[in-house]
Amino acid sequence: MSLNTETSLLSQVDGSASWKCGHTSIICSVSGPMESKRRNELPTLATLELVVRPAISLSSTREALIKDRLYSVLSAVILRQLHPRSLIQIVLQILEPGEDLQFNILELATCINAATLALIDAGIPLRATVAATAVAITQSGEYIVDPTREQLNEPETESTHVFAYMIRSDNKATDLILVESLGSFTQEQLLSGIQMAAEHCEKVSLDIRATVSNKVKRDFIWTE
Amino acid sequence: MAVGKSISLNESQFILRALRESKRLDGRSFSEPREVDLSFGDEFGHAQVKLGQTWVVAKISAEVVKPREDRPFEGGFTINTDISSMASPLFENNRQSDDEVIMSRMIEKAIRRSNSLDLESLCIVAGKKVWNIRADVHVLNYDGGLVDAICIAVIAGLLHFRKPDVSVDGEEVSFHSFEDRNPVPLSILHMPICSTFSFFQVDQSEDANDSNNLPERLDPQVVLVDANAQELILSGGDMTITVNKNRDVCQMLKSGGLRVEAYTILNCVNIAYEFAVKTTKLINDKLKEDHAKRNVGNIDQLLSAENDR
Amino acid sequence: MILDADSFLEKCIYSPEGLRADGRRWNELRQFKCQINTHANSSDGSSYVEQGYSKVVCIVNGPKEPDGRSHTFLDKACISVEVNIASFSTVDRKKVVRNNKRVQELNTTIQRTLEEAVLSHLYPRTQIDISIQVLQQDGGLLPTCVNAATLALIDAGIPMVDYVSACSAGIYDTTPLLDLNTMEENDLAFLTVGVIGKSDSLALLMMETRMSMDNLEPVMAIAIAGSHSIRDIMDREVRRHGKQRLAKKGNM
Repeated sequence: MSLNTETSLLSQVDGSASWKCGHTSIICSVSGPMESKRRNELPTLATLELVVRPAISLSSTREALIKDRLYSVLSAVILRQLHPRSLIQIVLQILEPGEDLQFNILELATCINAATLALIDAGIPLRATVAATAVAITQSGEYIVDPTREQLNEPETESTHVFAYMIRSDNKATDLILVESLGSFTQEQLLSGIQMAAEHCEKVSLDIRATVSNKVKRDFIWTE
Repeated sequence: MAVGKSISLNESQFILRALRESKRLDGRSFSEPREVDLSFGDEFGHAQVKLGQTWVVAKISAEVVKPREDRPFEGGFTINTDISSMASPLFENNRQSDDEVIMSRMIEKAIRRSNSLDLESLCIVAGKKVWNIRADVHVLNYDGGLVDAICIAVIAGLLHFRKPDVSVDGEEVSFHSFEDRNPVPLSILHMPICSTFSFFQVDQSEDANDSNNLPERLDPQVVLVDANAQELILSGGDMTITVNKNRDVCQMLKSGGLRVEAYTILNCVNIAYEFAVKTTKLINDKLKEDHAKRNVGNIDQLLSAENDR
Repeated sequence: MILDADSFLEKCIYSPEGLRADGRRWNELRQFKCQINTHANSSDGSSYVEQGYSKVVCIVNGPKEPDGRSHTFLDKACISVEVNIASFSTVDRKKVVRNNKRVQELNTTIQRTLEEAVLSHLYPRTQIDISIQVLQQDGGLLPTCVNAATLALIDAGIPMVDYVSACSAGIYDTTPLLDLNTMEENDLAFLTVGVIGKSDSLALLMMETRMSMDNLEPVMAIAIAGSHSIRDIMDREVRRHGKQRLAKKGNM
């Protein structure tokens, strides 16, 4: 699956990143920590404003679901207590969903990865990086990581999952942070899916690292 | 549109002083718009426009709906321009400011009310089924010239879009997949192109002797074409003119702001026309390029008997 | 005998004899009636303007304490405009939604046009409320509202650079027509200009229909001329009202 990432592509916001994986393409912007509206202010934590915008038509329950899952992941990983009474604004724009309306796994996984990259680009303190991966399990028990639109639409596909891991400096996926599953599957299938996803999330994390080190190289030209 | 409210005094004096000396920070002349960078995505109807730092994506989609009771022969066309804080933190999410309302009205008037999309050609079965075309505009980065960029993106998107072919047998309607039959383009009657002009009063400064040293500038008012975000904050008012290459003015709006002589406005219309001719050509060239890329090795293309018009 | 409704209408807009449907010539305004100080007890300034069958009442209150922080500017007064279109103002009684985009655009346009004429820097940290009631519509909604607002601001004694007068003009074939009514507005391409004082410079310019570039100049010229005559009529009314007041004062 072809992966294409970019950072700092928007000029008016503090951090931005685009994540294009296969036919799914998402762009994320992060602004903050900045002054928050009085009524949204939290006395001990930074407020997290999250917007997920679909490629076509206005945002619906589908986007609300992605937003909710994303919120729980991000609020766990951002060190919000370091910036009390301020606002961190995150906007995710889906440019190409890469899957049909009844699925949202590719979008959710890509949103998590894009948001992580944009947060790093904006210099927001994080507990760890988060890497997510989408998995489809077929009738025959086959695991497809990052399925295509056609593979998802196959009647063979029994269940779809998104797994996200927190990854610390040793680049080991040990802390599972999100499991989102839909369809019928067995307990064994889920557990081995989680196992398999860990490996893949480590790979995604390497991609994030590569992008960030490229960014650092570009930003600090004077250090060899 | 004065979105960014704050600019430092130093910056503002620097820009105005440069204007007094007939210079712009990005090296353009006063009547020179920025280069339009237009590209298309993998899907039909996905157009992307970059105008300086401004970055806009338009996505066109189509669905079948029941037509309005009073217009049974006409399809629908909606343009959605909701700006999120991705463009700039100064735009609030889920709330439209006065400027945004005026802007979305302007785009409606330029494209929808000027009839650039033939709505009657969207009819499938009169009174029962019509196509509803939807243009979703995503502003990714803001640096002035929003109306201009959005208009180009939507028009280019509409021209690039293909809807599935339909065959009607009595009341029975069947849709053909893209592989089955070549998808059909929309019927676009003309291509409106917007140009934004900003007006500045540059003589109102403390060092009035400076302007005396420049006797060649008699008119203290400066007109800039396609101002960027910084220039827009300082401008005393702006005007948007929409023209197509058939010399029709589709829409004009100057809501308040600095008073401008009528002849200056007529001059602006001519500049807008030049920009429209140039941009229309650019859009057509890019479409042709994209078409050629898509049809590499396509046998239908080689067998086509269609002439170049 | 009417043979065909369409051709009848077509003929009616501008007859070969040079007459319009309502009997005017190409360069004639409709009857322009105006009155100031109509609501003397309930407002600081008020006016009533009739442009043909378009009728508008305008009330101005202020400069006064602003409503909250978002209406407070440190260097100038905040002008807020609210146009209210009565549902009985047109033939089809459609309910006009308050936050309709068209009305919002109208509000902002009028507000920004007036900001250019009012010397708002004299009243920092204050608010000037302009509320416009549209009673009847027959074309030229925006110009009538602008004219009414100008008169009401003058009545309120708010300093201005000069009168803001607005007028619309359209084009029929190659003949420009001044001050259109609804029927003409529906069929012709037209524009609206707003002029400050007796100059050629425009504070407001709005065109929503397609018009050829080459027709722009004559149409704009006649619209500006129309605005100038409206300014004269408004000036006459203000002077009449002033004299009347002075006379009353003399009697006391």
